[in-house]
Amino acid sequence: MSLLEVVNLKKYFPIKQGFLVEKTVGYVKAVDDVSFSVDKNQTVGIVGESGCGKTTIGKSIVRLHEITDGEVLLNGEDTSVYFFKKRKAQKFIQKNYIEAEGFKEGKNLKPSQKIVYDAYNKADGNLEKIYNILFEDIHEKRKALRRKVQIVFQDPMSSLNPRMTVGQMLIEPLIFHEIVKNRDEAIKVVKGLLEKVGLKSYHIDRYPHQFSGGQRQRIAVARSITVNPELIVLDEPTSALDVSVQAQIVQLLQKLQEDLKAGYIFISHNLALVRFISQIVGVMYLGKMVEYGDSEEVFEDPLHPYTKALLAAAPIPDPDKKRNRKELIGGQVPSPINRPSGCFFHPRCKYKMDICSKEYPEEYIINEKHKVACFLYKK
Amino acid sequence: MKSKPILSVNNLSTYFDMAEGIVKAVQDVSFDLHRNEVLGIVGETGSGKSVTVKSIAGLIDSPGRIASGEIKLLTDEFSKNKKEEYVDLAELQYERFSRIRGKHIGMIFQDPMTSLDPMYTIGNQMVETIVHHEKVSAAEAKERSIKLLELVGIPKPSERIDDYPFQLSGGQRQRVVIAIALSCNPEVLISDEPTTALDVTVQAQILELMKDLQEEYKNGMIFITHDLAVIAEIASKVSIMYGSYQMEVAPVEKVYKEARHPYTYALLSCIPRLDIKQSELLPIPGQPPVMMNPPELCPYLPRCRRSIEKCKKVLPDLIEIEKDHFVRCNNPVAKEYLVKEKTE
Repeated sequence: MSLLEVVNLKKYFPIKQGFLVEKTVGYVKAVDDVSFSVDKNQTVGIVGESGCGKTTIGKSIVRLHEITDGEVLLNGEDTSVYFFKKRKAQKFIQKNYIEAEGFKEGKNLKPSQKIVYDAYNKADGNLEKIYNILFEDIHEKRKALRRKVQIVFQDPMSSLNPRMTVGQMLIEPLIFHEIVKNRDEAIKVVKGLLEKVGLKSYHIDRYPHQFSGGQRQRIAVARSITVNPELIVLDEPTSALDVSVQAQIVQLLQKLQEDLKAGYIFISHNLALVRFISQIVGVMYLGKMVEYGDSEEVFEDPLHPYTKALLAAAPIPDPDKKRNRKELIGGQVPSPINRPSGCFFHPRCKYKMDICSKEYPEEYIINEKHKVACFLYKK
Repeated sequence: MKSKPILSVNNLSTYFDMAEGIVKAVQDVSFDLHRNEVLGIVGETGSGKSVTVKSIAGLIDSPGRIASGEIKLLTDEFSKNKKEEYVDLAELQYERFSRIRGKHIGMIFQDPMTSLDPMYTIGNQMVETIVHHEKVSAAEAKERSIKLLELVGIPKPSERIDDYPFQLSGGQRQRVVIAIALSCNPEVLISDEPTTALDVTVQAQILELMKDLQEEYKNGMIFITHDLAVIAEIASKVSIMYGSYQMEVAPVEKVYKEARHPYTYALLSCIPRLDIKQSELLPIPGQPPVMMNPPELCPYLPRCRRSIEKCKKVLPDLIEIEKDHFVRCNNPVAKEYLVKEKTE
């Protein structure tokens, strides 16, 4: 079983208009039907240009955004409903579970379905009662989820509270999640953590402004690992840093992964870095994942025209290697509000066919792990 | 015979007088720029690369000042008989500088959002530059602007010329900035991280455009970036800066294949690469230097793996160790070592 399984994740942001009476006039489909999974001790890279929805995926998994639809399974447990309001949760259970095929017969249920199925039987199908049974201990469940999933943000200048010392920042989660018994023990743990991320134990009483950018990012990393998370979302953790410091942070993250055996979701626009750090990579374009597969396979032999263009566009630090001008594309990413018809990439695509402007391609499976959403690979 | 350099910078130092002390942002920077040559300046944040070019363009304002050195530009702007002669920009009066800036030195900045004025149409801003520097009517200038916009790849330039900057996308805005910089065909074109704010596919478009235009106009270009990969693509000569000093100046192939300075060498082994599978990155330990009252020593000393006793006493000079290959180091990486490493 995978550590994290994301199934058809959707996150739509409503566009509102009107002054006194607000009306929703449309949606920005930031993440649209994205599925992937992360194993323990594995790094999944998500790449794409700005506005493709890669950060929204990260925030949806950590539940800094309430997701619109889809399932986020952590260790097989469906966590999507945890942060829904009552009515939405009931609707979600009705639609995704009770009306699902074969649910009422109780055959071949996934672990997440089994939980709902038991509640369904206990409550004789009454939605209100099912909700009450399922949400009995929701606070503990939410708290546990918050501990298991952590995030490191892009900019360490704004992700650390300038009014808190490093110690205060790192002790708070330890005490909140009851990982340590008292403050003294917490201080001991925090000192150990600081050494672990390459800082000194006497840094505990300093404020964020007393550190350099790289050191601050080390603090952000330390904060995310205080509670022994199972999954860490790394949202462009090195893009605000210089290259010489970037390598330090990357090395630190790799070392920590060996210790923690945590799953990483590494979100970045730096293709070379993603190739280096991740085993699996997903390429996003306008809210959709266009290619997903083994990192080596995708970078050595990209299949989707967009992946090809992206790789051709990335400069290489070797004056002898000239870029492949043939694969370069013109234009820019269209607005996510008015996405093109059919395949969103077709207006910029070099290989477009008639069908491309009419319907969005489904994901064609190349091999066990490698999937491509492009009509070129239709069998 | 090599032609005279179009721009020659000798021992340039720029300091900022702050309340806490003097920040030595640029120290002892020297280079020559020829026509049809692209000089890349690479460095990390705070290494002084932007201040170097701002000094050249006369954009250093109080509390900053050019402490010493000369910036010689070959131009006929101030000569009576239209003969080209060297003008020292470091000594030039502020009023006379506006005849240089925009006409002989064009600039492209990092963020096209802030380098264009949001209150004027792009046509307005282009015409202003041309009319200021050359004796042409506004109508002629507008015609030329449209041609320039077409050249930089803006579709339907005669309609778009009346657009405001916010109506254009980031890539298009940067194209407009390039068009303005080229409008008077300057001898020296300075681009300060022109592609950093752009997405990778758009960055590729802009780089291709700049390469094509450079080949066409044959002006000298100074290209600043922190991205070694971008430099490999566009530059013919590279200057690596660290902590206000130039560490290594060499032709582009030499920098990537025979880096002699320990910093350049370490930098190249800590960047991830897209074209090959790497087993590990070798980070440079420590932090970049703080530029407030630094000691008169090599700024890289605290992080250097090859430091020797001599490093703790004297700051090395920028020495030409091979033809066109300058290194500021007491203990440069030996050539035999590089060859050995490659064959292993």
